[in-house]
Amino acid sequence: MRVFLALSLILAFTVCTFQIRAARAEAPPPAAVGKTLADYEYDFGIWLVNRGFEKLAEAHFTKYLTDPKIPAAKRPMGYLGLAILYKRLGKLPRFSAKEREAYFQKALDNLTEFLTKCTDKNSPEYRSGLVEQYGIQIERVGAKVADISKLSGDARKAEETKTAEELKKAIADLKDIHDKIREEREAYEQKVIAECEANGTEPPEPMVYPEEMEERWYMIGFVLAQAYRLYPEIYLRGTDDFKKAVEMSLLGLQDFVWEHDSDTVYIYGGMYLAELLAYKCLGTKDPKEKEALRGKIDDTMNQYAFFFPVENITTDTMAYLREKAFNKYAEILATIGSTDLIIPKVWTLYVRDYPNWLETTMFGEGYTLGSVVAAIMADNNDALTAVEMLTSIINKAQLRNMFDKVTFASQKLAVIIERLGPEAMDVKTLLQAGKGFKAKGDSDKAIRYYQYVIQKLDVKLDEEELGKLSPAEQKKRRDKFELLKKEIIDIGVEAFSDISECFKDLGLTVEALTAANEIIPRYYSLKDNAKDKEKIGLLIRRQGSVAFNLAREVFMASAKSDRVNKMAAQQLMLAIDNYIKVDPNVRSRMVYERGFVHQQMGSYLPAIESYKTIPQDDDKFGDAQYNICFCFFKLMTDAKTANDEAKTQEYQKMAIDSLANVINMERKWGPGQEAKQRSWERKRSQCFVLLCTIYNNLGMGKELIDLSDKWMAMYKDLAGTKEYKEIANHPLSLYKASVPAALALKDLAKAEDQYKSIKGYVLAGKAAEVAEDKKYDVNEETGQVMVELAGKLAEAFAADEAKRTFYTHETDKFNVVVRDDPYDVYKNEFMKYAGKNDDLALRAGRKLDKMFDRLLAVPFDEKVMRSKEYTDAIYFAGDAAKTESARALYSKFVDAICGTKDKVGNYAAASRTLAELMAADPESKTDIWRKPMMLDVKRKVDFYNMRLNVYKTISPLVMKAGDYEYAVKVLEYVVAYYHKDADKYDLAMAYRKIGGSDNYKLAAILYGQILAPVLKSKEQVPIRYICAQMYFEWAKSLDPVKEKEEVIKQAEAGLRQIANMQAQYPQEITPEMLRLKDQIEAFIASIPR
Amino acid sequence: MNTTLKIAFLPFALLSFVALSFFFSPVAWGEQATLVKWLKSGAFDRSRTADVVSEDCESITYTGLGKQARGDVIFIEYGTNADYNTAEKQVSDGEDRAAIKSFQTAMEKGKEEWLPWYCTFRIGETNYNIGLAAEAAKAFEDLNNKYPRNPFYPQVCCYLADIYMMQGKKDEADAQLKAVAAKANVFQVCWVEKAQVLQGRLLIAKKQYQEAIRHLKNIQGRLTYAPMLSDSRFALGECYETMGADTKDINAYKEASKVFEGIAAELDENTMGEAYLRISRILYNTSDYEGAYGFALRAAFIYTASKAWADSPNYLKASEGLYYAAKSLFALFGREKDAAKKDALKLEIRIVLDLLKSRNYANLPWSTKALNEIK
Repeated sequence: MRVFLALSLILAFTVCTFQIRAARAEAPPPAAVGKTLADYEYDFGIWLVNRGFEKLAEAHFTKYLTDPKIPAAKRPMGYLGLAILYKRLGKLPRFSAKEREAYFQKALDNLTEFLTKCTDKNSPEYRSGLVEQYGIQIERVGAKVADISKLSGDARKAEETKTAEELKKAIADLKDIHDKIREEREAYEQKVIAECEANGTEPPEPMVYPEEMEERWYMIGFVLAQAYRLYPEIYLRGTDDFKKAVEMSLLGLQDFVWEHDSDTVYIYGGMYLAELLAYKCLGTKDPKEKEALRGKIDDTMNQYAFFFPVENITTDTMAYLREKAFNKYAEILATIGSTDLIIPKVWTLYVRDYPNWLETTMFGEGYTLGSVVAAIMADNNDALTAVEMLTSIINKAQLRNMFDKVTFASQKLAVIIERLGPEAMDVKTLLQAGKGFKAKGDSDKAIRYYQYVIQKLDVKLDEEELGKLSPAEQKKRRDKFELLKKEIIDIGVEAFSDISECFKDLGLTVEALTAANEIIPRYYSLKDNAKDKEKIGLLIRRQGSVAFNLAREVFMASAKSDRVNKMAAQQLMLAIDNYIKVDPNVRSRMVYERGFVHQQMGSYLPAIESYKTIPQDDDKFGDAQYNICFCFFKLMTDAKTANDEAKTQEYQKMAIDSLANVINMERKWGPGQEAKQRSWERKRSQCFVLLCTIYNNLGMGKELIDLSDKWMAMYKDLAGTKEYKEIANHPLSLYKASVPAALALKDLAKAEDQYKSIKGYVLAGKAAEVAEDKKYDVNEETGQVMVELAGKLAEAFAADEAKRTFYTHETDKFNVVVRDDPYDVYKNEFMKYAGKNDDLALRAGRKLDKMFDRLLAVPFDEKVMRSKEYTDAIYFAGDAAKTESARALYSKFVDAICGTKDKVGNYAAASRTLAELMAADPESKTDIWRKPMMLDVKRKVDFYNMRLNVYKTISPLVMKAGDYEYAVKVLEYVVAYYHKDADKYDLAMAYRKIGGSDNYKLAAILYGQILAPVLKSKEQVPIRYICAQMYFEWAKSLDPVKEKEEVIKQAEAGLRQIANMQAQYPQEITPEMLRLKDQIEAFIASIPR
Repeated sequence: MNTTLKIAFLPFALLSFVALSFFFSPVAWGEQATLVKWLKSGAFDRSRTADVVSEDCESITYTGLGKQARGDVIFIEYGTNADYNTAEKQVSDGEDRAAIKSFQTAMEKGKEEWLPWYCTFRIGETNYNIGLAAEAAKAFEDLNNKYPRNPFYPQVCCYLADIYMMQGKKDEADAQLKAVAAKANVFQVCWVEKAQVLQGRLLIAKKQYQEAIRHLKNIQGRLTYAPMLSDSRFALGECYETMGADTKDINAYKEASKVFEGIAAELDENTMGEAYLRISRILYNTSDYEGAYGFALRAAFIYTASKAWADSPNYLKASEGLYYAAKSLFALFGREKDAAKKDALKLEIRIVLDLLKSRNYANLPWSTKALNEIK
């Protein structure tokens, strides 16, 4: 409850409303044992109100009033909830004054209802409800004050008077309640004292009142203070009425705030009093009075807002408010024109009370104040401190997720930096500015400032300029320069590191890499001269790693795209050299990387040299050895391509030797070296595969068979384990070559042995034989290899029927290729690529279209579907209403799927209606689902929907691809469905492209359809121009001799289109149109008559 | 983070809460230390103090007491390492990423035997809590591989199983759970039970629904820790829900909803939010958008404003609720024909989206998802 109260208070203060009372009323304390459903429901409703879900909240509380799950005694709380909701709505400026007034009235009505129906008149809810009445009144006044400011003249005067009367009345009532509670407190105090005297004990000091009484006392004080603060706001500032109202509020507040010296009303009250005094101060021209009022403001803030010493504050609310008061104090000083006093009077006090403010400030109040103070510091020519402070604030606030504070501080920082300009800033300030923008996430700007830093790193003192200054100023400049010189390395390293990070944030990896690579040659040798050697040493080492990783990323990206570029390789080599320089521990890994770069660049010999230096105990030894073999293999294949037989032989030998060397290498492994062993064996197994490729190319059958056998002997058991799953498929490659090799050697028995061997391997732990109609438990990839091998053996045993049959059956049993439903496959493919990859989308779309022709060969037959047989099949025994509504839904479904006289089918609607129909009969009890047309109906509807979707998507793609025959099919469907002009233009164009009089006629009809709605406007001009083009095209497509009349007819039709336009809209005629006219006329003239 | 696994967070989240709720008394290794126990009711108790001589995953040794079973001790508070304390403070302040760095610093600088265990564990846990599963797995794997004696061994196995399941590595998850089951008589009961619940979840992940239902119903009678019981009930509901999604069986959805409604009706704020979330998701997936909207907001309410969560709101979970609220409203908007009602729905969608853009929700995965999907 306390915490809730605290948070509510913070919210209340922040938005300067009377939310606190609402919060009190809104959240009744949980029951002693635990919250009941009624409590949760009420709290949830209030949460909805506070989050702005007004409609839902209204429905929720309305339901609450009658919800049987809520105990009857609790239900009136629904009225309280509604009152709070309507009060909130009354405050919303999006409603008119009249609507807001109505909401406030509804709020009061509901509150009255609550107070009448609430059975427990002593409950906290009831008591807070009583205060809530005034809360609503005051909110009402608050809303009116906003409206009054829009008025002027007599209307304003009248409204002011009326509103002031209302508020005065509310204040008087509140004062009465306040007085009554005071009397209650006094009576209670007397009672306690009397009891203590009777018991011979000392009364408690300070007096402890019942919690409920304390809460009421606090609530009424808070509302009253708010009312006084609001009162002057009714009047126009500077007027006599305003001044009088300020006086009245001051007196009223002073009269009671002092009584609240144990709660937060004391702090609030102090702030309000200071604000009112500030109004007064602004209103007077007398310097003496002004000065006196300034003094009073100071006294008031110290007497009230800062009354509770920071070390005595125990509640979060108090602690927060006290910090908040510093900001209010600064704001007031700024209002009365005493900005210069903010640092001495506010900031000094603040940092004294909160020395660790950067870490501890509550809700970022210190960050707001610090940002304001930094701006003042910048005005006082202390830009560096200001920038440093703002940077620290931004960093800290960012880390604490206080983004509004980050924004506030960043805005201040931006103003300072823009004003100073980079030229006027020294290198350290520029660095801070860069950091500020970086923290703000503005990497672009940050980079700009870091670049200024880099430009200024080499700046020297201008002796000539210095000579013009006084000796004292010269000394000052020299001292500053010397100080800076000591930090220049630190600054440089930081700037380059940050630049690299900023570029990386912007996704500019190459630029990030260039910046990171720059640090080591520039600063590594100077690192011992840095001011903070340890930090800079670490930073440089880190940059070594960053540069390497970035360079590798860039290099690998270029390698993946088959565009290994030299620049990327050079950058990576540079990064590798740098990294070795700054961190000797990574030497052997980097040597490997160097070899890898050479290998990727096709420099296999240098790569081999690098790999050879990797020691046996290195993690990368296995990879290096494999890569050596691979490089020899590549050298061999390259030499072969170049027809260099001598080199081919030389490298072939080296490749085979190196591979055999790895395969036969004996290595011993100790405890804790399991990972290294695994890595080694995986690579060694890969060497088998590589050697197999070479043997296979060379037709070395016997060696191939031995190699496969050797692999099986070495890895058969290991390959089945989880740790070695990467090598599990290696024997497939080996035996895929060795079985045919044995067959080529005419050694059928060996081939069979080999087959058995690999079969035993792939079926290890599974059924070794299965019935003829069953499949072996293998994956698709393995199955395919085995099918191939069994097929080869079946072929080899052509003369041996038993064996041939056996191996033929083996091909069936290993043929485990599973085919998904092709419709789903293409549908998924289409959905995946639609809008992303036109070619693939079109391909999938066309495949689907072919299927639709088959799947939708039997369309929905409207007559059958509307038949009695079908409608009667929808019947829910004993539930006529349900039957009727389901039949209506069915009819709607048929309308949607088959279309009506005026409308084509609406498949999306059909799908929805069908879903509703299925929901009405979730267990498919009615017979309709068994009728032929309705079997698999959901899927059929999906086909219709999908076809439309496919056609719509692919129609422009088909046009683009120039497949006009197909475009006609697709577009005719789309046009019939959507009737859109854009599709009609495309369809007409497709007809034209196909050509032929029939198609031109169809195109002419489509243009006619487009033209019809715009016949009375100039919009017809471009359409007619297209028609003219079409007719001309048509005429030209005909045989001028055999179809002379038709040619002339169409050409003249084209001319008529242009003539029509010229007559009606001469101003719309363009030179192109006239050119077309000339062309047609010339064409007609050229026809032999 | 995969929603399926979220409920598995619950005890972990509670544990994290414990770890960061307790401050550290100034004790040194071998001196008096505070033991945090996880009671079967789900509450945490730090009533016992003793001289800790050493601790490992199977036993704990105190001066004067000799070797004794760890029982329900889940955390020992040492307060002697300033860097470690700084990191814990950062965790409690919600500065998770900064805390991870501080744990690393503490581990590099400190010499105490417990530091690498605790720091690596907390790095894993913190990464896990902010959704960086791969980083969390790396830390946890490091911890159990390098320090098989570490006191968090079974708990780490559970974490790893959870993460592996999320990553689809079912065999690896199974191995972790078996490692706990193999020493069920030695490890703390809470983690043994946790592993049993996770085993049920693994069966769900393997789509062995009937087995999962049997397993979960079977263990429910034997689970002694209230949070584990609750977790197993969620798993059961989740099993029905996944089955519904997988087989399009509306009855399975109904069963799932029934399970979650039962949980919500208990008015336990630690589980209510999650139950509301699940109901909302089920209703959304079965096109009851109005119902889904109401329950989704209830979830957001519980996670941010209820007594149990108000002090440290779970915005991640709340954002999931708001996601379903937004999606449901969007679906209703699409369905609505009346222009005025459409406008009202638009306003409500805006409220939800604005909330998701606000400071506490901005950039959370569900917020981003909602904002991307609803334009």
